[in-house]
Amino acid sequence: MAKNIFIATGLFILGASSILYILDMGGDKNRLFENLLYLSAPILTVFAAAFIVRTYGFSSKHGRAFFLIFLGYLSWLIGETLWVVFDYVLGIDPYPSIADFFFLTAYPLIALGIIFEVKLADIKFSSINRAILITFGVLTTLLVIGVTYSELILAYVPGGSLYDNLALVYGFASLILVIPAMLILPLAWEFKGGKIFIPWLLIFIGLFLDLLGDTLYGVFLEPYLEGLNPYELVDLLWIGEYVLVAFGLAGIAFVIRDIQKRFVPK
Amino acid sequence: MTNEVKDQAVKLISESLGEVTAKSYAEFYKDKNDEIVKASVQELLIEVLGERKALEKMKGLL
Repeated sequence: MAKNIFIATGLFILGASSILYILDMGGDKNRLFENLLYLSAPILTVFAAAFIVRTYGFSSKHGRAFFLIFLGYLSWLIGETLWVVFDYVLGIDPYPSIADFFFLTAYPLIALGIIFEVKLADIKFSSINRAILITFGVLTTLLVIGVTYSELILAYVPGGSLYDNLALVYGFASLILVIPAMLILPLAWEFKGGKIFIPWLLIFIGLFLDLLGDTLYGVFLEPYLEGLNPYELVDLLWIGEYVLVAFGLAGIAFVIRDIQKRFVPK
Repeated sequence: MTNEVKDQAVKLISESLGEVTAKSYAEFYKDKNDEIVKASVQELLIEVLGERKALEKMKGLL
């Protein structure tokens, strides 16, 4: 039951956001609904991350690794909420602001959590399908090039102040996440045939969407900040990320929770 | 039944599925013999981690 409600909520967020963003329905009239929908996505992820930490137990290594991921997504949720408050409620420019601190803090926390999970998985690269390794290599290279170009080269203001070059910090933050995020592909492959394979694959796709969104945000920063279509569609990539990562984290948690339930007297 | 097999099995479960699940299995394995414990943990790990990873983890126990 809880599983079905969780999936239905995620699909509703994805579906309704897609309709609102792609068709730009209602224009400014739907701004409130659009913002609420946008915020509901990271709320779902934080909920899923808390669920997986609770399921593994904080005393387990997995529990502590996922706790870092939980803190990362909580940090993103705070950043997103502040952005909406500044932009929609107060009508002031949200960039740069304290929201950036929370956005940036999330990257190393999530990267560290993933690194711990990769370490715990003890990946045997020699036994992984070559196509998976090539995909991992190609995607990592493309993302490193994309992030470097859009968030470091394009964002650099020669002779500018630290304030002018704040965007560069996002570039370095994204780079911190690229390799750990892409390592989730071989990590997922380690569990092929097991029930946690698909959930890990969803987390991988979600984080890929996040980094793709970051890259496009850097390239189309000006029209995005002006709220122009189709540049605002970058939001859909981030919403997709939040929902897919939430599905992945909750998916792993539900697998383990179902096993634990076998010992609960009916 | 030796405690060694049971302890290793519970440790494997703890490493892969966390303490909460491991505690339930520790209780379940109390009166089970070695063969049942081995078969049970293998089946459980295959279900969650997939066959290759599960058998890799089971190496020390089999």
